[in-house]
Amino acid sequence: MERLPLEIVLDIITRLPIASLLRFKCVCKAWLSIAEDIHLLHLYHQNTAQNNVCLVLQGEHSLDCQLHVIDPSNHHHKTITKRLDPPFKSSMPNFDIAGSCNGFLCLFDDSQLVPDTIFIYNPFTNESKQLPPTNKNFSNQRVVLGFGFLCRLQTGEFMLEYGNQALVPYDPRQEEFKKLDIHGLPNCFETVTFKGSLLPLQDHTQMQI
Amino acid sequence: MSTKKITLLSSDREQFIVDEAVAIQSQTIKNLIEDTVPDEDGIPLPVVHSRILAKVTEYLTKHANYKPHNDAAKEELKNWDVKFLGKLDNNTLFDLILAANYLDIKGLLDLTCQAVADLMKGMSVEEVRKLFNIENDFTPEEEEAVRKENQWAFD
Repeated sequence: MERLPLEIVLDIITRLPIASLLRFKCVCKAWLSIAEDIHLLHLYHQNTAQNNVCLVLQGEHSLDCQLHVIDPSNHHHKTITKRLDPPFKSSMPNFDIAGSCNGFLCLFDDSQLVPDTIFIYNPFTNESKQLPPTNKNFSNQRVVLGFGFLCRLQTGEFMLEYGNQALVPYDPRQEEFKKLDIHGLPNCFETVTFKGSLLPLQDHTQMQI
Repeated sequence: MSTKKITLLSSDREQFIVDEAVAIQSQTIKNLIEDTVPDEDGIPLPVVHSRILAKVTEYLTKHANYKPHNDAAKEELKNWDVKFLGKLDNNTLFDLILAANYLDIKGLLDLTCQAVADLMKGMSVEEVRKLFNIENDFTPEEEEAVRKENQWAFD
């Protein structure tokens, strides 16, 4: 069989469900580097994100937070849930999900023992990254409520929302939080995530249509 | 109304006569019609064998004559595509991808790439290597390491 050019191979493998994509990393070295290429992410979202949905569920036992993944696109076997083993498990046994966006999860420490502990987690590659402290005092509300990417996906910047009070953009290249001034942002607001972007809404009591 | 006919010439010099409207769904053919003086036998497509060109023209004819205006018509066309793919063996499917790529037919390329992806979903790593004619260049240890990292995808 004739070999397909690389751009076609890329086109095909970016249409695969995430579990198949990960499995085929060990087809050969070239495929491994394709699957770990950052550019693949953009293609992958164009081709696949809408058709191949994958669910991550959070389960909670009294002392044990768990994450499970369901891949409903796997037609050939019956749908099974698989338990994930996140690498931050030991440093943050009690966590909650702040939000998900572009395949990433944002998790924070739910025990309140170590405030401001936030991890960004890719459940499919099992990679995680702890964010540095924000160095800001968000008064009594330290809980992260929202997580979304800024429009420019290439830069990988994303935004966290703190307790209805602040939006904080994070720049992964500089590894730091930045200041964000949105003109007219009310003191108290809610956010929605729309197509991966975090959007502030005015408090419902003041919302005008 | 008479429609202009175009003659396409496969690599093994077989002629395929189609309406111009059918042919110019291929961007490559459209450019060839505009930019070159045709061979007296037809427009030469030296990398597409008649076996594949027959399939390409079958697809193009259906899609040129069938512009779906409602959901039922879209569904009908989709069903036709599924049937069309169902008749292909894997070798023909791969050849068709190469032809769609060369002839620059977006719809056909999309259809065939998705078909291969669907085919791969339930395959083992070994079956995918065979399908793509890829040699495993990992050492057993390296392969085991990659496999371990992505364990949940294998269960």
